[in-house]
Amino acid sequence: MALDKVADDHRDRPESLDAAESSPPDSGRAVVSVDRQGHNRSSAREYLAALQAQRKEIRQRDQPGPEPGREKPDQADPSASRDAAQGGRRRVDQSAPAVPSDVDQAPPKKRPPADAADSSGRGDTSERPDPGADAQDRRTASGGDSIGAERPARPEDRPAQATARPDRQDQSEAAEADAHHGSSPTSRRVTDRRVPPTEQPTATSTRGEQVADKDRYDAAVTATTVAEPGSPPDRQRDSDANRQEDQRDQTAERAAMKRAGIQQDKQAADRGDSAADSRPRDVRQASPDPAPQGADRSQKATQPGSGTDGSRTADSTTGRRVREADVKDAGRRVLLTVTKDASSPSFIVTIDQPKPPDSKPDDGGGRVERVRRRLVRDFGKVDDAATRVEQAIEKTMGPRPTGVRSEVRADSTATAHDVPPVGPHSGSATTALLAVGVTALTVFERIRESIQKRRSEKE
Amino acid sequence: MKVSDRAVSSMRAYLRVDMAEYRRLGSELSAEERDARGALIAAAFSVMADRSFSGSSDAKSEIVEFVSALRSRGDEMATLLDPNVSQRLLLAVVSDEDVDDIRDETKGEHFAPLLVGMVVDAKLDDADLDAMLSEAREIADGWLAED
Repeated sequence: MALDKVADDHRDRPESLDAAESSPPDSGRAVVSVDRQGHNRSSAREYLAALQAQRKEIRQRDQPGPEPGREKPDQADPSASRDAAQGGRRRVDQSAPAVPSDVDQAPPKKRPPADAADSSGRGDTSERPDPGADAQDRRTASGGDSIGAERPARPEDRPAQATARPDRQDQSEAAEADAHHGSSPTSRRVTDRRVPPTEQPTATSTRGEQVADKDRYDAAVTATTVAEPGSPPDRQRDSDANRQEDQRDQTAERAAMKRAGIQQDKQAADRGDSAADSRPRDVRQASPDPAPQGADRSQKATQPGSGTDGSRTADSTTGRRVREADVKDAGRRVLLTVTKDASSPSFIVTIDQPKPPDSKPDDGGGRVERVRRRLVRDFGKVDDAATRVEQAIEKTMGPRPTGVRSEVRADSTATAHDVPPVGPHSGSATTALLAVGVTALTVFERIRESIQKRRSEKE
Repeated sequence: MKVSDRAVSSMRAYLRVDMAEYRRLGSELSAEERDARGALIAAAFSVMADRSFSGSSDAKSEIVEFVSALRSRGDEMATLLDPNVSQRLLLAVVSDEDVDDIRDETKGEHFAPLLVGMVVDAKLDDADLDAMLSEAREIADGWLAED
């Protein structure tokens, strides 16, 4: 009798459950929860307390506010009750993917799909000896098996009060209208952010489709949120389209990296070896091997030494594994070293390009580079030419000749000094004596002329 | 192959226009040492051209003036030096002038008188000349290592 009263109150007045929850335990209102197997809950107080705690938890979880396009759990779509019965509609708070929220999580096991009447759970009467459990089942919409007597407070086992128990009258009316029209007012798309996309289509059941594997279903539902519009087939198509798009992106990425060659990896390594510490890189990325590169970078990075070329060494004492790969970049040889330290989960990628042995840092203007630019190819020809022109250089720029051939150059570049006229070219002793004789003769003649002039004056 | 000390000594005599010493030392060099001396001449030419004209705001005008003054020192020099080739060789050091169309023999015939003219104009003492030759020797060794 009490169960019927509670069920009727809940059906007629959706807020009755709230009232029941808020009422003191000793208020005299008794709520008995009966699961599908007919196990009565011993204490309505315990159930209500658990229910209230869960509601509080959900309110706290939803306090940041719903995302655009998302409905609050409290404002659950009335059609969700029918969807819950059909097994394909689940709404889970995305903000807490690890903990299932108060959604109609009961899987639609053993329940014919697309039957609005079955949303009340009357189809399971064979499993419920107590007819009074119908009220509870109506409240839970379908989740009799999720309210295990042994686990009354587990959120994932909670019935779908949020959807089967609309908090507002308009939602209840909308649910009724929806039930009359037999169509879902909203089509939702389930996006799973934790479950791999490949598992999503099978884990999340489509409309009217029973899910055999409850664990997979629960896992999918737990990680599922209601996001965009889209029917279950649309979800399947969207998932396929997303996979195809990802494949196209990966193909384009591989092609771009193939074109870029090692340049990309060099840039990535130049971005910082520190960054390489946190993000492993594939040695094959820098390899000229045209094998698929970008798709399985992280996978390959976890397998050092699985590249195509290079040598690999291992230090058994330190657990340090080093792999070296020589790659070519525009004709230049680059040494790429991938280091895996056993104490660290990350890789260290270093790229070393050996410099020329005589290279010096440029002074900024390319001056040194210009000076070092090789102007000739055959040095032997330069030496021969320099030998050929030595005479012209000697004549033009050599030391000034000495002696009678000496001359003063206009450019004053000669380094020879003006030496006194001594030596083999400066005159012999005979020459000197001759010069002295000439001088003496000249003097003697001048004396004689002077004497003759005096005599003539006397006469 | 590297530049030997004897090649450097003969080159020093050449730049001092002591051709007798140059000939004497040159007669003692092997064929490889002669080739290395050719690399030393080209490297010394680059070093001196860089020192003489790289810091100038109007390097081209100074190069033209230098070549003109050098050719006016004598008939032999005027006959020996082609003004266009001389200017291009000097510009090749201080700019991106391309001189690939000039034969190596022609380059050698111009390197030596131009180099001597720059050394004489710079009035390098023995220490400066040795420092310049040391720098040129390092560059020449790098060129020879590429071969």
